[in-house]
Amino acid sequence: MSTRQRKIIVSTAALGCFVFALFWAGLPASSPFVVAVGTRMGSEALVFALSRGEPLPASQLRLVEMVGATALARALENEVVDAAILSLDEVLQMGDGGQPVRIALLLEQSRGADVLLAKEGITRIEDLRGRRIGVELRSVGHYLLHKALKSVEMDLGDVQLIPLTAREVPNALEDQVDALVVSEPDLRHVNLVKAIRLFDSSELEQPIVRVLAVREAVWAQHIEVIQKICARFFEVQPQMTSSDEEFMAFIARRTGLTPSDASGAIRRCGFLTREKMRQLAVGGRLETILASKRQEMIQAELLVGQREMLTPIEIDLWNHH
Amino acid sequence: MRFIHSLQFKLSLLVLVFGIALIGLGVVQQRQRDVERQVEVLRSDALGASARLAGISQHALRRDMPSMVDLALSYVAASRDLTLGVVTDQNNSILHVTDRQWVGQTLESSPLNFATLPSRESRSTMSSALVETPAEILSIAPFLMGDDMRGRGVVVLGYDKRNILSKAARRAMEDAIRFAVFLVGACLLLWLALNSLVTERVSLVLRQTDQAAGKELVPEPLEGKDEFATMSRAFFNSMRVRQDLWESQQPLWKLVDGLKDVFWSVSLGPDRNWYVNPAYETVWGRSLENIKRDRFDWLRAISKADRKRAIECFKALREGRAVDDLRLKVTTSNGPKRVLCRSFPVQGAHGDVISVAGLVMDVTEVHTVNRRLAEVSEQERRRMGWDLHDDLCQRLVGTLFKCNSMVTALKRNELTLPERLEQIAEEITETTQLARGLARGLAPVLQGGGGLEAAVEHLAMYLRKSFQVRCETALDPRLPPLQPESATHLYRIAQELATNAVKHGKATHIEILLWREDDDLQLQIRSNGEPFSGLNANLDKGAGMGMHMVRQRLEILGAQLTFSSASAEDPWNLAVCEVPIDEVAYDENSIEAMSGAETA
Repeated sequence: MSTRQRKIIVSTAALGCFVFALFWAGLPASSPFVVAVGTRMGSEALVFALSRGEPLPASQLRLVEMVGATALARALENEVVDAAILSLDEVLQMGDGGQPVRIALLLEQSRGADVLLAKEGITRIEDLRGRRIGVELRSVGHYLLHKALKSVEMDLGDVQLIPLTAREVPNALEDQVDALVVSEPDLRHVNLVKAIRLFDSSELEQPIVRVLAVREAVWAQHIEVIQKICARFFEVQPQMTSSDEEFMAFIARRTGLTPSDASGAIRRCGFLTREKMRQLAVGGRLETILASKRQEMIQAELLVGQREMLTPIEIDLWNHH
Repeated sequence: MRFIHSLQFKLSLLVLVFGIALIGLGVVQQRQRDVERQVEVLRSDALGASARLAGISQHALRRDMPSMVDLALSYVAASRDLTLGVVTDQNNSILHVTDRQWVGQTLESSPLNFATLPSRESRSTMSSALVETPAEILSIAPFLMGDDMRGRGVVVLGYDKRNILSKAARRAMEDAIRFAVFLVGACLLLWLALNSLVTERVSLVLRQTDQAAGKELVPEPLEGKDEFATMSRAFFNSMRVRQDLWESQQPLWKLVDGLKDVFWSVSLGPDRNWYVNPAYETVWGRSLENIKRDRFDWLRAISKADRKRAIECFKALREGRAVDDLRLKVTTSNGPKRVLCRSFPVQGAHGDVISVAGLVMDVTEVHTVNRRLAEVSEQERRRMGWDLHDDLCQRLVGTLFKCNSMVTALKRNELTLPERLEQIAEEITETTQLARGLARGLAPVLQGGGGLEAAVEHLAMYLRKSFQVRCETALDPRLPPLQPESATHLYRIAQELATNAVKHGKATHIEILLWREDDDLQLQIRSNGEPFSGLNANLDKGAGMGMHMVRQRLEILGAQLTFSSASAEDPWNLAVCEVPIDEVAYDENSIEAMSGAETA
């Protein structure tokens, strides 16, 4: 090797070292997979699944319990957490807001767990015109209210939206609002004696489905943990669908409900089995639901609609186990 | 030199090792500082969060707004370092918690059970507390609760320090890797710099040394102002002086190397340097390689009889004494030789003898010539003695007898007296001619006897008579008066060449010509026999002695002798002798010239 060739090689190696030193991103950070779980039944189901058996080490998985759907969405949007339990409409809002997510699990399909309640004296949705409606803005409740109003050819502009949650103000129906959008299990804390059920999620054409939504940016980094979470969820599926006593006791303890209330709440939450998930996904039904919801939300000005829907659904995860 | 032994490698490696050590030390220290800083931040955050949460709890619980506490807790739970956060009442019963499965449990049964005692203390003093273990930080903040605000709840937040430690370790490792790679790059550049500034320049200096040792032209010194340039310039100046000295000595050495005689020199210093020129092989008949192996190889060539004298001569030289010329007999592969050694001591600046040197001349030819001359002279004297004895003396004795007989006859008055006198006159005439012939043999060119022309004509008669060949002569009448010795030399040259042409060249026709051409005399011998150049002188066979004498005479006359062979244009083999007139003729105004002219 000539002297000139050796000098070129050494110079190139030195330059490579400097470039590496200056631009190297660093060692991969082994941060845990942080999942925000709320107070909805889908969250409780996931927490129950992860509490069974050998717990995943804190270096791999951390659950952050938050109150309120918007808190979960904001936490995911601000990248405080890596995943959150959201509804499909909240997932669309995430994508619309520039934070694409992937759906790892379909947890529950609401069968009346999300309700529009009115106080005594209001028996029709039409009677809500001009009234004050307590609703958590930019949440599934907001979407439900829109669908309820639309069913009687009304829209959100026909009512006064009061941002609040039933969990915060369980007696809001008594003196603060005329109607209230509330979901299980918070529904059980609301004084239902005089409340009138005007509309619920069972009446929707496109069901409310709560999912485990993961930020696109961290999907690959935590794929192994996500697979473990899915496996754990599928393992406890029989207990959830059969309303196993252990499961019921877990729900009752965490939600503060009585066993009968807990049972009633669970009944309204259709926990999805793996087969049901496959049916929804493989048959294209889930894409149809998403597309339909998107259009509706754009029309209702719940979405801006400038970005394409980027919500891939990881069917392979459900085939894994 | 192996690469790992080079200064370039060692320095670069040293810098790398030292740098890695410094980086390691720095990274460890940085990691420690990083951990301390992060833990301090965590402590501050923990205290702030617990205090904030205590305030919210006090306010929200007083107004029966427990969901607000849950909401506040959920934001605290977003911290990645938080393991568990609880809000307890005065009985340590968990009211709100970041993990709802602990709702209604006691603090003692939760993972924060080691906060039980500190929380009790905090309640009693109503002051925040920070409990720290190697792995965790507990922040405890009390608050008032109950309708009468007499109850004392506490907020306990547990933070895991291990995340901080692992992050600090990861950052330290990243810094270490980054700095180490940067250092490797810097060391590579250092290696390049050392290669350019040191290794290559050292190589240039070494190459200069080799070139100077090989007596090539001293290369120009390195440019620059560093130590290598300074060293190179100093070396250059030193080598230039040596080169100049060497160049100044070259003519001398070329002269010495070109000598036919042997020149030798031996240093008497501790280095014992010696020199002998290539003529040693020719004169001594032994190889220079032998003398390189054995400095006294030359001594073995000297005959035993002379060896002792040579050794004694050398000893005398070493002592600084002058010595006479030494004649030695040397045995060579070509036969014995005679050499003349002229040696002398060489004195140094302080007068001491630093070396001895000398010349050795091959005098074998001279010795042989002298011997042959002596032999020939002796032969000639013997011949003349015999001629005188056998012929002239006998004739004179015969004539004496006849004269005595005439005396007797006169006394007897015999009548045959006139006849006897005539016989005596004839014998005296023959004896006179014989004596004249002998004289001519000794002095062929006589001033009073017709000079060179007559001698050459006599030579032609001799050749015609003795060898039955045709021989003609032609001498230029305009020839100036010649000095007798020069004329004799010319005659002898002509005699030798013509005689050789007839005797050895088998010539049957010879012409001898002499004329003046400008400032030279041209003596030309023409022969129709073999070419003159083939008739080589050979001292051993005697005939060469004649040509040797011819060469001697040419040298005396300052003449040139050339031969040319017969060709298609000229059928004669020629021997042409050109003699400067100044060397052989009288000065025209000199007395000798005038007397010589009168004689002629």
